[in-house]
Amino acid sequence: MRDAIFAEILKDMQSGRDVALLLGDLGIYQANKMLSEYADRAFNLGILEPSMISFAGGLAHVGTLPIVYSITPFITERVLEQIKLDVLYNKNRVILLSAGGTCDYWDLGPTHHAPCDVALLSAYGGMDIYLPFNEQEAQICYRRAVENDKNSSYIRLSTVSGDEMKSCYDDLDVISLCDLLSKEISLPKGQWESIDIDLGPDSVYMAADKRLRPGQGITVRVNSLANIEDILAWCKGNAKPGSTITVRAPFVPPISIIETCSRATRNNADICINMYYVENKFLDRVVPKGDYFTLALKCMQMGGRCRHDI
Amino acid sequence: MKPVSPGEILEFALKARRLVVEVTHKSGTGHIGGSLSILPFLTCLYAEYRGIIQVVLSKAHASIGMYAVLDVIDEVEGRVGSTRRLDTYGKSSGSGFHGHISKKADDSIALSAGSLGHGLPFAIGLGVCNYLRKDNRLVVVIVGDGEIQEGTTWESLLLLQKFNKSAKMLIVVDNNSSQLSYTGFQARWLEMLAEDIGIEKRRIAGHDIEGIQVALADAMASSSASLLLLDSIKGYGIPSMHNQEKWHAGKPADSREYEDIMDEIELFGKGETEE
Repeated sequence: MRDAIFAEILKDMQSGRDVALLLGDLGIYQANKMLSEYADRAFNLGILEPSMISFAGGLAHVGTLPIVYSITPFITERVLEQIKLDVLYNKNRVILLSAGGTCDYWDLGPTHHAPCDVALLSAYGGMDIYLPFNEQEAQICYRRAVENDKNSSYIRLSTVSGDEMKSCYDDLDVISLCDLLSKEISLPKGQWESIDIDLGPDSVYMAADKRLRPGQGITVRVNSLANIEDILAWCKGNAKPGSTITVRAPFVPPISIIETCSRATRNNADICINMYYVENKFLDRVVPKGDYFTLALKCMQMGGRCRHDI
Repeated sequence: MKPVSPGEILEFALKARRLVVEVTHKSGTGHIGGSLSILPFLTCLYAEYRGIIQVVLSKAHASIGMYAVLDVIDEVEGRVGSTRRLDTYGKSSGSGFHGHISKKADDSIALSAGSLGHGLPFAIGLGVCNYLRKDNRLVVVIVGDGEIQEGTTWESLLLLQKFNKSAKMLIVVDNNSSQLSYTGFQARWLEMLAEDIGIEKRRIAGHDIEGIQVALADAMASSSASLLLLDSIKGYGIPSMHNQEKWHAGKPADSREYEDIMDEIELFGKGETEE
């Protein structure tokens, strides 16, 4: 995913778009072309993340769009105050690009996990959060982030591979939101009783656990909270009354999902929503990737009884 | 840009000093000590270069000093309607101005700040971007000598080394030596590191008006970063406050103390002008 986004950044530099790539001593080989051919736009600043974020704020103040790339906890949790003040409160638009989503580096231990990244960055407002599943979606998310002239963006890249996703989804009918909304997929109206929404690539591990598949319907992959609203809007015209919607959103704070669903299902009490997430305290321990979802799940349900309290 | 004589600067600074104490007394909040130590510099800066500078007041608690200087210069330039900065100072809700610097106060202010250690890396980013855009404005970042204990200062110097030739900026250290845990070597280390990196540096008294004017003119003519260490006096211009820690965030206890302080300001100002 990183390479796909770097290719997009390079295209932007070639087309003269006012972007700058700031590397935290990471990805320098993959960004070699940019570093050598656009030395005034691509910089490896070194291992100084707090200053790198403030520096990015300075670039953004006069209109350049900086893209900051480093390992997830180092450009989210470590530098939260710099993001809060020099980026968000001062309305300086920046794109944060994380290397390895929340627990991709599980084997390196908790220092390289960022279980609260999404929760923290969504707490202040002004930050759009993207959790792409694959290279194509990563490029789409990057393009949306670049073209959004209002908010900053956090693109949380993961190392989840297509193969892993395939094995988890093997027996499921999975479609992407783009396909769903573009109507390239022909779905008979009014026949769907359950729809599972997987938010972000880590949700594929939840999908692998059959206990977390209450529905027999379709599974839709989405890569931002805003997409959930799109799905719920789609449901109003396409799903049966009384349908169940299950949201598998590992690292999004439950309150955000509740707010999103409440907004989207207003005046539509017929829809029952199950929600699965991971308890943050669980992630303080080192657990092999994949296992933590089966061991530390919580379920919340809105609009009806809780059927899947694991 | 118009030349302003040292005598005029002293006159502006005296007016601004009065405003600092008056507003602090009226609002019941504000950092007088650190505002007055940097006030001579701010007066020189705004009297001559407003419009061609971008300012980052990283020691943002000195906001009342900055606002007072802006008001005086506004008056000199015949601008009207900008006194809201001082009228609403210390009113944290609504449209008021709180105790740390807000960029809403003036177009020249690049960053709303408050937490120490943010201004220098931000200003370097701004300076580099100006270079990329061929924007010739001077970025002026003002840090306190206590503030430079923050780790980002030293990280930033590494950044500065990388971009030295492409950041037209002046780093000003208000070296008033009155931090509670002051160890005395911070500013010296900064000076040594700047020397090692090859950054132009200068060290003068914080109230040396002519020295400040020369330093500003040189920074304006240069295309790379330079360091200006101002050996300043906390509470400068009010002798009873000079280097007294209680005036870091202290305010006049009552009207009588306020009147005494205002008398001191007049007396000191008179002496300065006569020199």
